Amino acid sequence: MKNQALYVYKKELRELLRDRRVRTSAILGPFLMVFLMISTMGGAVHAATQPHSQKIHVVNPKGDNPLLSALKASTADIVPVASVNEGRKLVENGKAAVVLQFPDDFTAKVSQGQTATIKAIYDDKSERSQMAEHAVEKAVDQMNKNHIKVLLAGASIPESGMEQFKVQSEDVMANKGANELLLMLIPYLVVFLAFVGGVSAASDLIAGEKERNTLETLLISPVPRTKVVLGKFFALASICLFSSMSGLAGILLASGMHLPGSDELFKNGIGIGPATVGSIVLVMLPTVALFASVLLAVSAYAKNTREAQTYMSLGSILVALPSIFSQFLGFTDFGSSRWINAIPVLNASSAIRNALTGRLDATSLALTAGLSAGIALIGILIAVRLCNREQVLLRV
Amino acid sequence: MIRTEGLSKEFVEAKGGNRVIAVDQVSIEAHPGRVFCLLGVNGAGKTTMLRMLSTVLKPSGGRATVAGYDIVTEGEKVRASIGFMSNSTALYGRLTGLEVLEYFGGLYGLAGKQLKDRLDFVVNKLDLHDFKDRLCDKMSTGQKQRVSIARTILHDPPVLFFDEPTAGLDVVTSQSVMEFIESSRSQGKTIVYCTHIMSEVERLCDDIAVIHEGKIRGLGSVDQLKASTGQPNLERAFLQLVDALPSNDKTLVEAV
Repeated sequence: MKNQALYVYKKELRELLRDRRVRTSAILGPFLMVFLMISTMGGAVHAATQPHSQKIHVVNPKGDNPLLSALKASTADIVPVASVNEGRKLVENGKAAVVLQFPDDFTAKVSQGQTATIKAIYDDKSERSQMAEHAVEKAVDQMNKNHIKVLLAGASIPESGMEQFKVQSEDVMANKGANELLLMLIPYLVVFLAFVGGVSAASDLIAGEKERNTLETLLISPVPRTKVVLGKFFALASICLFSSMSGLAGILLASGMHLPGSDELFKNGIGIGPATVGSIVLVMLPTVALFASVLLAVSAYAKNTREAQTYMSLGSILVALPSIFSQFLGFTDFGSSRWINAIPVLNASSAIRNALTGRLDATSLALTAGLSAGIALIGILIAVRLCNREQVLLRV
Repeated sequence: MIRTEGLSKEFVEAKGGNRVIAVDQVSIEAHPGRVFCLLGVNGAGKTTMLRMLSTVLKPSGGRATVAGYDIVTEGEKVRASIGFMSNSTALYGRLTGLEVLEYFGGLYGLAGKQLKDRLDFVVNKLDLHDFKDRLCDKMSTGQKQRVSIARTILHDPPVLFFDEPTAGLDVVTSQSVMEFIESSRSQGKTIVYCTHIMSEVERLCDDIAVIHEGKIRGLGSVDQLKASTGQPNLERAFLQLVDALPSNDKTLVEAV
């Protein structure tokens, strides 16, 4: 009778893996979702960084304009516009990225060495418009620099006079740790997917058994309910871990493949080796235990799968918030603060982030694992208690 | 053998906190080699009785032993000694019939050769050969019921509980369920059978307890119940015991 929890575990895992909903939500779905996400992002970056002709709308352009000549040289197409108002409407409607208006005395001012102000009308909420405006500013900067070079040369001053001060930066993490994009995505996705991937399985494990009238038969067997719950808990934790690791595999595969945009997204490689993956798994083990125990307790409490899934959907928001916040840890000093370790979910995301940058320390890991394991234990005890109550059968 | 003494079960309604007595001071005895029937209408307390005897529910009062074990203090031993079958086949749809049987065999402590021998026995006895490797979801109702019976007797329990096992079944499948119960009786099993179908009671049951609103209203064999109520058949005896006989009929009986 020693292996009863193992019997329950094996049976539950086998049954769950035969369930198409579980396979989709915990294995195939996370993998495809992140794979498509990385591929799409790569594709978008690739498209944005490819040299292509950019349309610059200009109000009544004239032939002898040096800026327009410089823009044309950088493969921009100049499109004439009749008036400023028309240009403004084109930008507002998204039909033009940027509209330039040159003053009437533009050529005269340039020839006299005076500042000629060019008005650029753009939409700051449109990335395409921002990029076009940036291209114009870049061209103007370059022209200004060329102008200063000519002036300096005329006064017999060396070109270095243009830059009295210069900063030379040294990135101590250059070629170390994970790529910046992965540093934002992995701590969030790996944690969130562990929870979401377990929802379908969890609702089936106890609430589903109530609904299908199989729970009574199981409870009438001589297996102590603690063992029933433990068997189900480990099966659910396995599914949560599959989901999380499936997402991670999708990220790593999409990042490692030479898809369009990979070179732009991962200039210095993905920076994740087997040791980092091992650390992530180490962090995730107590985290999936936490998720599995909480989900199982909810499943034991709920009358049926529908009610269980309603509670779990609400719970997913509680998991999503801290894991989304982890994406912004890099903008704060919180990442290195100890209190982060005291917040469930966020501590796991933070620990994964530290693992990705090679900064995961034993104390943080121990605190995170300890807290998650502690909550997992409470969740299991609650699930056992609920299963020992008569209501587990009668509350249907 | 099953013995209950003043067994009671009281529920407190979640809404309003009203107390509902589902089983009230029930004292019965069921013996090996006999089928004991709990006969009552829906909501009479039959299922609650079986749930208490199978240790799923804790009694509010009284005591009971099943196969010599106390249902409160020796729950695990009680559960190891019983087989429970209801009209819901309670099979796992995504497992094959054989996988379900192996699973429950494991839960009941069967392993290795012992498990294999018992599996061979139930597969042969219930003729599961043709569909034992089929997913339960893909089985017909009759096939599911046979697998369910196999699961019930796999660990060879001395006590069998049947809670309206033929409800919703066709005539042929019902017939095979009843034949199985008869054969179990001949093997000396103690059988408790819950139903409200009179023909099944007359065919199967040696001892009958008419239960109504949680109380035992009549106890004895079919003949004893007919004699004690003065009714010509079990159905009328039952109706009289549960106060459901039309009033003009009662007057007629009293006049006779």
